[in-house]
Amino acid sequence: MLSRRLRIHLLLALGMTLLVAPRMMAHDDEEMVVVRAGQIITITGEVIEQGTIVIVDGRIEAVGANVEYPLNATIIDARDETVMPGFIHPGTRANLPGYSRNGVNAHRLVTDEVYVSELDLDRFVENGFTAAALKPAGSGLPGQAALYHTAGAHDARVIDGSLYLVAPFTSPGRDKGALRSAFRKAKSEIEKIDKARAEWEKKQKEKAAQQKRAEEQKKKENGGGNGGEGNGQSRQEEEEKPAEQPEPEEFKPPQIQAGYEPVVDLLRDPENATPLLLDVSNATCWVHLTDLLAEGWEDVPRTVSLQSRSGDFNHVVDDIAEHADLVIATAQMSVIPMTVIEYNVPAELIAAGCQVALVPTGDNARSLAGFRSSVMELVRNGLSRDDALRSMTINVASAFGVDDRFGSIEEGKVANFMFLDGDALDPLAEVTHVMIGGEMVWTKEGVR
Amino acid sequence: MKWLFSNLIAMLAIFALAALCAPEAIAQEEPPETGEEEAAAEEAQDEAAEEEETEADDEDADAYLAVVGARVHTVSGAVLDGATVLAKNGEIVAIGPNVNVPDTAEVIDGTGKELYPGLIAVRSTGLLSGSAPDDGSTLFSLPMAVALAGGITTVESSNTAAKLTFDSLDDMVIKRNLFESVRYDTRSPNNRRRLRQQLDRCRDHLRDMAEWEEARRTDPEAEKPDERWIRGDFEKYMRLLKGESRALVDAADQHDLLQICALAEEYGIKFIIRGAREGWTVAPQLARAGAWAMVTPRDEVAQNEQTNRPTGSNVENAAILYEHGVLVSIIPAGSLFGPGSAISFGGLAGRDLAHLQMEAAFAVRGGLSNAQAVRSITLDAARILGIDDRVGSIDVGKDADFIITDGDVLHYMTQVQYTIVNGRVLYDKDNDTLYSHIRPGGDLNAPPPTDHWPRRLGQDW
Repeated sequence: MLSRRLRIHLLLALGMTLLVAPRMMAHDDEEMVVVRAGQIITITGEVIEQGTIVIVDGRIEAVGANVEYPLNATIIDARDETVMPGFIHPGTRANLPGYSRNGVNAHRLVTDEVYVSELDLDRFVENGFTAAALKPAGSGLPGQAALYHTAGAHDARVIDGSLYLVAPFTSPGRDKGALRSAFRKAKSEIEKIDKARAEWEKKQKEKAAQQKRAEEQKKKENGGGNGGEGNGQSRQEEEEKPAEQPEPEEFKPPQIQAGYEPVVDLLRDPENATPLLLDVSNATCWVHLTDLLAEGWEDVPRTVSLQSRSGDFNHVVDDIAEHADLVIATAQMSVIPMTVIEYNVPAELIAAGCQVALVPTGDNARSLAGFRSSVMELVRNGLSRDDALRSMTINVASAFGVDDRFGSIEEGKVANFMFLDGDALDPLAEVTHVMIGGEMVWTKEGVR
Repeated sequence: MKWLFSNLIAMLAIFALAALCAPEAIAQEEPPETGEEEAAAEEAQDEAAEEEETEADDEDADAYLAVVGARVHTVSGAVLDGATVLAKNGEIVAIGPNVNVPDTAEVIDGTGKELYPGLIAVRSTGLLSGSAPDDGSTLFSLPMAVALAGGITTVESSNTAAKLTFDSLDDMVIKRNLFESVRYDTRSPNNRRRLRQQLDRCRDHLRDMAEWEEARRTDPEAEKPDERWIRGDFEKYMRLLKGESRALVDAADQHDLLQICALAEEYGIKFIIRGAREGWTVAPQLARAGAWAMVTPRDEVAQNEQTNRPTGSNVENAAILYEHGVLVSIIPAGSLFGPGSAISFGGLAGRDLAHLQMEAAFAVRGGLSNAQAVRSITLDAARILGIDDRVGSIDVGKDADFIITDGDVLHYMTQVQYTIVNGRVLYDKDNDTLYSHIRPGGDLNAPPPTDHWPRRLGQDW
């Protein structure tokens, strides 16, 4: 039996040989980057101490404590740093022009109002955000948000140009009616199209029947006619005729007002449509929203975002958790109106059985820099550390259906990381590097 | 009948099943109302053990609330001592001394307490939003909590009667378009002339229509009078002339009131007069004209010394009007902020929001009976709004909107203990911070209620 110390030595030696003597060779055409990290917070898996991430062509090839990599790979030595997935901002107007739209303009894309070359998202990058959803501003349905990489090559910036339809629901008197009339208008458009299609089909059928009758008549006439050359000719003609027949006219649906097209898709094809993102500002709005959806719009795909600083969501937390699987909430303790009582909306939502994606308290640099510390505040008030980390990364990705590519450090995902010189939730720890698609896009001043 | 028939079929089917399988009975759907039926019901329940399992879900869905042992002021009828009021899914289903309370019911011990219908605040602002309160109102709000704590369950604002449902939008609106608003006062003679002209035109039209109906019997090709011009205000006046709705008019002075009486008698329009400050001087005329009134007993305007007739306000206004047969509802403090801003949460009037019953008590000071004063803020207010089929009294079939107090509701020391709207307890004094620190009877040595802080945070807090 080996002594304990000897065993540890043996293990260490084995580990060293694995590190020192990689047995894999990179292909020449592949760009391979290897990150050796002091700690890897994978989010979906265990935390790996002294681990390695192998990145090929911007995607994670392998991650683990003992991972093989070729000697000719670019090695990033971060053995005294923590590596975790980059944050994703669920919705911001940062550095976008200050205009807004009212009414139903669901077809407008934020990508049309943004020049990537002029997009300045440095303050997002500096604070560990590798992606951010830019959203159109206004009331009604002002348009579609897009998910952007915060840095990197211009042509690879847009991740999803049609991420969600912005739908503010902050004043029931205004927004409830607006949304209801948008739904109703879209429904009547669908009915209009269906009616037109039915009419068209009827017409096609009539046409076909008419043709058939005409043909039959012709046949009869031909059958009654005399034999001879002429007859043969006409028969030939008859055989040729079906081929000559013009293709049936294609159905042309009546024109829909462009702003309503995405809303029509929401109702007609909920699974593939761009979902709504409903900004809800307090418990009243939540009740009015559920009341509106109960009017026959339950199937509309949607995500709810709670603006929670002064919201009295304590009244409806259970109801929200019952109706939604995943809710976007502000990373902030809220204060119950008329009291001095603080209330942890994200923690209560999670306790009620709902997933949470956290959003920084504001768009300014200070709020972005304070994101981790404001989450820490929630952790001090009852949110579990695990839930906190998930809420900042993978849950945001799954809120937008991009969790197959983003939000955790797993094989196959895009290599979007942030490097920290301390613990992920330590307010004093600072972001030292940010990697997007396997490329270092930012390094803190003074760091090698 | 249809319902009965379909139920009969269902019963037959169940009986057929029972005959096939085992001796089973049918589970009772509703608890019997009297003790006599109780034994029979229990028997049925025993036999129906098996069936009850399948129907258990349905029974769970029924929400029962029972107040046991309170003095029940039905307002529409007798005062019942130690009676039980049972509500099922927001509707009163049983009242009486021997009501069978289901096990699943939420029970409130009303021993030593009084139960009244919820108070109705006619002309309120600031509680619910406009004519579509179910689309814009702020819920969970302090004004609503204060109003509920004051015993108010129904408000009328912007021509809509709605309930203070606090945390929900279900069954909020009772009735929209309660009245037709009409202006008719001495300050705008043009307005008056136009109104009369329009009414004349409508009346002529109705006469023409009647003639046409008559003519059509003999001559099927008789020409129908033109109806295209009946739009907007004319539609409103048609409804008034046909007696389909009542006209709401603001009037305070004797002269205006008499003008309205004349108009009412000439055209057969039923008026609801808001304010009616000098109504006490012309009560017989108002009664003859079939007018109803919304009055404020605390209204105070001094007599005009230049006239040799009685003018100005009178604390007896409500009593005198009522004695002459005018239906009266009491609204607080209207004169302070002008008519139409009676019960609001802003400024001084916020106090009236919390103390509607005190306004009615002022009418008692002016000679109105206690019972009638309570009626004027419950059943009579509901009648004036045309919602007395739903609220205003404690009767089987009406909505379960009531308050439980620790004494006579008109007494200044009385506090509301519970406010129930649609069968749900929305205010519980002991568990709400608003007035929980006020001890019953002013006894400061009484122990504080348990769990009185913080308020409305759910069970875990």
